[in-house]
Formats: sequence, structure tokens, C-alpha cells
Amino acid sequence: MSDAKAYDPRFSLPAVDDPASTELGVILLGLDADRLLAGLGMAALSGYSHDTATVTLLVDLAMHGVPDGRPLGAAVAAGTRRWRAARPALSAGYPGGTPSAAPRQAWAQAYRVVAAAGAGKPGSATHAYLTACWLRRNEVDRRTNAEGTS
Amino acid sequence: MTIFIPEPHLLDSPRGRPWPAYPVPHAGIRTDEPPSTTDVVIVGAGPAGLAVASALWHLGVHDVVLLDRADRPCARFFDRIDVLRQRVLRSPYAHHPGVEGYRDCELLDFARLHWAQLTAVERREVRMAQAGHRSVVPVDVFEAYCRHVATVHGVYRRTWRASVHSVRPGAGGVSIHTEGQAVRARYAVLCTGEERRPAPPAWWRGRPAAGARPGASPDGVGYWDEPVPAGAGSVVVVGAGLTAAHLIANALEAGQQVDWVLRAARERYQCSDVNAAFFRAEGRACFDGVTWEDRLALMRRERRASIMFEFRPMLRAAEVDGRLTVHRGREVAAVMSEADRPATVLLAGGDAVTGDHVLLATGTEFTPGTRLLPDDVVNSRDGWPDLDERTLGYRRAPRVFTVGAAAGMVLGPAARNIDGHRVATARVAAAIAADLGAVAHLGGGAVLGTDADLAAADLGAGGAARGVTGV
Repeated sequence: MSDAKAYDPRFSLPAVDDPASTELGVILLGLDADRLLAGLGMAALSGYSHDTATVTLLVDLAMHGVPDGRPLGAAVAAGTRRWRAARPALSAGYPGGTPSAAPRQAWAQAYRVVAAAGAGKPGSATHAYLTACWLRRNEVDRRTNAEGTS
Repeated sequence: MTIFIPEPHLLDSPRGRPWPAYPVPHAGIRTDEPPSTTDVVIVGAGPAGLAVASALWHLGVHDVVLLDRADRPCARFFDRIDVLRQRVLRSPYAHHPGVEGYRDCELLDFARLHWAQLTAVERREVRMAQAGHRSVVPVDVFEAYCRHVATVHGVYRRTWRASVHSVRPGAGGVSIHTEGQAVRARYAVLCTGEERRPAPPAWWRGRPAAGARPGASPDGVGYWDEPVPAGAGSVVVVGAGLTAAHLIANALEAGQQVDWVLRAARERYQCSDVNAAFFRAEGRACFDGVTWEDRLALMRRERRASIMFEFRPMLRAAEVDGRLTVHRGREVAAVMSEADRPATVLLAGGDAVTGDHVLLATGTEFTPGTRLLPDDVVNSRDGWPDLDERTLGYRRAPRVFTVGAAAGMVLGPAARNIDGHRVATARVAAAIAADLGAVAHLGGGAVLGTDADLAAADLGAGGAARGVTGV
């Protein structure tokens, strides 16, 4: 076939060259608080803390109760603990101001907040899920406060 | 006005690229004997069977047995794709065997989750899909997604390898017969896919090779789903659809000289294999409220072989430079293969086209259910089964349903496509779940049968006869 470099889609398409972490982040922003907490917990429990996509699939597996996967409740509980542990540092490091209305820009800003707080370790999945939780912190806080899970 | 510009790079998606290991292991499908009774048997674990099983799972119907000839779900689907070296699906991202409405991971997001694995062209296709435009799906993405859908909905542990010989409706259930075993079920869903369409018997001339199986194509001639012998310097491709285009592209890429025999006066290029309107409700509405004859006419008009636009530049260039010779508007009179002579396609009018190998891209064909069900249950009309349009159950055996091309006279020409599977699945799964719900609520089959009926579902030949007459 012909040279892929000559590809001309006739109109530009947004964010095609963005890093995978940003693309995954925009997907995470569409998840509900339970799934975000489950992902945060799953990153810690599963050994896939470096792999956001796999953690997201593991949450899908847990939501379906797949026997080989981690139980959803355990993941949410672990995520809740992780969120509560990270929350003060994220608040302290938050520079304030109005976040961008563009999801990708908002994601990049929040990703930096999490990095600056030193909360994203041990891996990219933890970092990504904490970033999503931070951007959706009102819902996540409501969920964790209502649940009272420790 | 939007002008569509074919983009050949879409066809270049890598196949078999390194893909992240799936996070939970699976032991493959079941090799033990399937249970003797179950709520639902799904015959065929291809994309349609996968869609039905997944939808039933979400409706709380978990006592399901899938029976398939192959050793893994969707095996024939992907084997056919790979023998053609097809790298993208013609279907858009919206068409997949996952389930809508339950916040499952759908195909488009699955692709985005694997952004790092996608090429620049594939990423652009994702963006096109997000913007609501037509776009194509890499086979790698679709295959990985099917595995995920099968895993989350428990399909692997509910699939048994078995070849189903017959499906016999009885008074209170259905018996599904495999080699030496029968499974009794409340319901059966036929998701059998389509078989290779054989060439017309009148085409065959010449002497079969020694030891050739009865009905097998002679040496020098093969069907589209068979491998092309190594060393062929020239091939003759017969057919007008996407399969023919793939065969031609593969031959050209291998440096072979190609003759293409096309019954139509010219090639037909089209984005999807049917008018896109038929993937939507307004397209299906063309079938609602119109006469049977009008439906037949619509099917004849809309279900014609066509080729993705993206092939056009390559095919035209090859024809211009002489690597491809197109015989347009020519009927095949005969296909001949004899020892020490080149394979030959004899065209109506007397011309002969020869090559080292003839490839028959004759497509696929469905059966209305007659390979499994008694003829009087299928009650076919013009080759189409007699189906309840609300449920896609056979009118004469309302516990037996069909998903796929056989539903064409209900759902229109897109019935055989993955999108048609989705629509059919919604109707079938809802009908089964509603009926099972009624059974649970009323303490035993008030709608279509009782537990006692299920236990009495016919299992033997005599029983089958009783069941059929009792339907």
C-alpha cells in the first residue's frame, strides 16, 4: 500500500498525537465515583499499578463478578483508603484557580497536581485514577463520606 | 456537501501486533460434557452467540450453554478474516457484540484504552467514530474486545465444543442433539452464522484429482476460505464483493498476475455492505408495514456484493499497469481443472481465462434453520423462515429463536451484520428473560411451558416427531 506519511484526512482531527495517558484520562473522567475508587484500589491490589488500561478492564471484570478477578467491594474499599490518604496532600498542593473547561487541558493540569503532591506512586494507573478522582472530587468525597468505609 | 475520499491506508492496520496480556487467565472453552438441562442453549459461539449470551447475562439469565464446533468463541469468524488477510472490519465502532445500556466497556472505549497500541491512522479512525463519521475497526482491536466481552459475561466457562446435529422443539422445551448427547433447554437460540456458498454444480467440468473428497473442488481451484497454494504465478478470481477484493489484493501483493471475473457490468464500491440507513431504525422501518413482495424486492436491491471504497485506488492502478485484467459483465459458464493444464474459467460466450489457480469468491449463504429444525417448523417462504417479528422466535416453535441472516425479512438487509445481531439480540434476549421471569413469578411456566414440560422435552427420534406435531 502507499506511504502512510502521505495520509491526508482532509480535515484535522483533535488530539490524535496526545499520549495514551491523556486519552485514558479522558475516558476515566466519564466513569462514576464507584468505578474510580475501584480503579484506584485495583491499582494497588492487582499488581497492575503501572497499567491504567488493564486496571480499567479489571474494574469491568469486577463489576461483572468474574470469579478470577478481584472482588469489587475490596477494590472500592482499598480505593477509598487510598483516596483518603492522598486527599490532604492533593488539597495542600492545589494551586487554586478555575480548571480548564477543555477535558484534556484539565486532565494535564490535574495530572501535574497529583505529581507535585507526590501522590501518584507507585505507578501510572494509581496516578491516573487519583487524577480522575481529584477532578471529580466532589462526587468522590460524597461517596467516601457517605460510605464511611475505612 | 460532503465528498468522501477513499483512504487506502485504512487497509494497512497491523494484524497480530503485540497486545497487552489480558489480566485474568482463561482455560479455554469446556471439554467436559455439557449439562443435560439448562435454561438456554445458544447454538454457535460466534459474534451473534457472544452478543446473545452477553445480553442474557445482563438480564439475569445465567443458566446458558453455548455449543460450538470450534475450540474458542468466534473462531470461524477470525479464521476466515485471517485466511483473507483482512486487517480491518467494515463495520464501524458502534457495531459490536457487547451490550448497550449497562455501562459495559464498549468497543470504541476499548480501542481508546489501548491508544498506545494504535497506529496514527487507527487513532484518526477513532476520532472519526467519535465525531459520528463512518470509520473502520482494526481486527486486532475487535478480537481483543471479543475476548473481553466473552470473559466478563462468562462465555468461556459456558461454552462446550460440540457439533449440533438437530434441534427438536417439544411441548415444553427444546432438545438440542450433538454427537451422542442431548441437552434439554427451555429455549434455543440459533446463531449458526453462514456457510460458504458453493459454486453452481453446472460450473464443474473436468476430472477430479485422485483421492479427492466428493464435492471437493478440483486441484487448481479453491474457495475464498481456503489457502492459495504457494508458487502460483497467476490467479483467476471470480466474485464481486469484499472477499474478491481481498483475494486480488493479496495476489497482487504476492506479485501474481490476476484475472478478475465480474458478472456485473462494473465494480460496485460502497462504504458498508448495505445502505447505511438499514443499520438504523428508519432503515428497518422500510420493512415494517410493507408487503412480503416489497421486502423481497428490497432485499434483492440492497443485498448486492460491493467493495470498500478504500480498495479502488489500488485496483485501478493495478488494472492500468496490466497486473490486473478485469472481465466485466461476464457470466461464468464453467470452471475446469485437469492435470497438466492450467485452471480455466470458461466465460459465457466462449472466452476462457486461465491461471495457475482459480479462486471462487462466491460468498456465504444462510439457511432458514432447516439444517437443524424440521422443515415444517421452519415453514419457509421464498427461502425465509416463518418468524415472529417481535421476538424472532419461529412461529411454529416459539421457544426457538434465530439471530443473524435468517432474520433478514424482519430486520432488513443488515440482519446478517454485527449491527443486525445487536438488534436481533435485544429482541430475543428480552423475550427469553421476560418468559423466564414469568416462570419464576408464577411458579412454573405460565407462558410457554412448565418445568414438567421441560423434563418431558423430546429427546429421541420418536419424541422429535411428537414434539413437532405438538408445536
